[in-house]
Amino acid sequence: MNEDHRLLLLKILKSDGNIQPLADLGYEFAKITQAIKLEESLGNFRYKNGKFTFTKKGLREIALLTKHFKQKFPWIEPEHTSKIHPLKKDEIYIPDKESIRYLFK
Amino acid sequence: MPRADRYRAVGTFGDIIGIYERNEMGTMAGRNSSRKLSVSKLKAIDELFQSKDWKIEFYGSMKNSQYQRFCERMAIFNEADQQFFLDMAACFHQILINDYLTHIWMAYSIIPNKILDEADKIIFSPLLEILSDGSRKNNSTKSSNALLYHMKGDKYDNANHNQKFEFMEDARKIKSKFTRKSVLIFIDDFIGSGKTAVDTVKSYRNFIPLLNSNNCIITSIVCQQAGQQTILEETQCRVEAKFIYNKAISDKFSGAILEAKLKQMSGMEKNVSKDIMEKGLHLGFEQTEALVCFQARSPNNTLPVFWFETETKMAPFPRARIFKSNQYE
Repeated sequence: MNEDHRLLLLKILKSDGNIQPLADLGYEFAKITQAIKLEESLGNFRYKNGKFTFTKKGLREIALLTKHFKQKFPWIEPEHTSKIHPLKKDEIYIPDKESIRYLFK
Repeated sequence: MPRADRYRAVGTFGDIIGIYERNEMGTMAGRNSSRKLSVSKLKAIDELFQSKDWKIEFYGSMKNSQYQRFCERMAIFNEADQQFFLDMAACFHQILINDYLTHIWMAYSIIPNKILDEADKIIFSPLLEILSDGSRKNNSTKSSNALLYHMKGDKYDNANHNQKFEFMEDARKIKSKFTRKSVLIFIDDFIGSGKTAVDTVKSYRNFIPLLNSNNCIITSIVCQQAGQQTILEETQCRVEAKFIYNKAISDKFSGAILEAKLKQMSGMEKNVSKDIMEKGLHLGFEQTEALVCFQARSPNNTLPVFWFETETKMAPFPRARIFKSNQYE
């Protein structure tokens, strides 16, 4: 797992979030489980009674990886509202009048 | 194109982090946007696999491993359904092929000695229906044939009355050897609704008039309690099994909770595939609600959420490998 993906994993871990983004990146669930166990063994977080508690070491690790990540990629957030999401197989796209205005010249 | 690269075609890693920071359990652009599996649920799956001693493969191609299949199945459900699925999985029984012989001989050992002491022959035969002329109704090889073959090959030194044992598949041969003092033991690995067993016993009784409820016994590795009851009521034959299991939902819950759980399971089945209902497999064949699989193959009596597979959704304990793994490549 490279540095960027590790940052994503730690961020997901911190909030007990959805791991599907990592699976979508090509990681098998067994690999993700292994990576989680590794982070736990490194002392970056503790898992007790179904809750994740990040240690100071873990938080420092996230800060460091975030710093590296921001140096690598200019931090310009994409405009999510303009993003066209791919349609699912069983979805039908029905445009609103505004988006097909050009057809009614 | 590798999956990771294909993802980059719709969004960069920066996008992912960006989206992620906005909404921790948020939606993602991409193929699996509707799938969700939290880290704590992944931890719960890991703990379940460890407690059940199910293998997690950390090497080679893991895309088809049981762990991957289990997680993929969990990810298609919502959080409440995921918890229900985990609760059901905690009661799931996987019988490994190495243990088949031990289990079936243990089931045999439950038969009272009194019955076997008086027998001149103890004939083992697979639990398969026959036609009026004694030929097999269905000629395909079933798991009970394989089980008989393994029993025959076993030394069975520790089994009581082993000097009287005979292993036969042909009903005509059984008829020619069967006497008033003989005992016929049908064997199978699983008895679900009991329908196959009832049909088999009835067909044999028509073919061998000497057969009655005292000299005809059914032995199985696993038997559903409802199936055992049906066989007893319809044939009065003794049924012995190493494991006797209740219905996974109907025997566990009652009243309003049962209704809610059944409704929840229907929703989960719809989530897997509409074909489950259409093929009459709701709650398993004949609504058996079993929670068992043999090696990695489940009987169709098992709850379909555990085994029903489609081309796009893999199952943890599939009956047939329908899922096309190369669709992500």
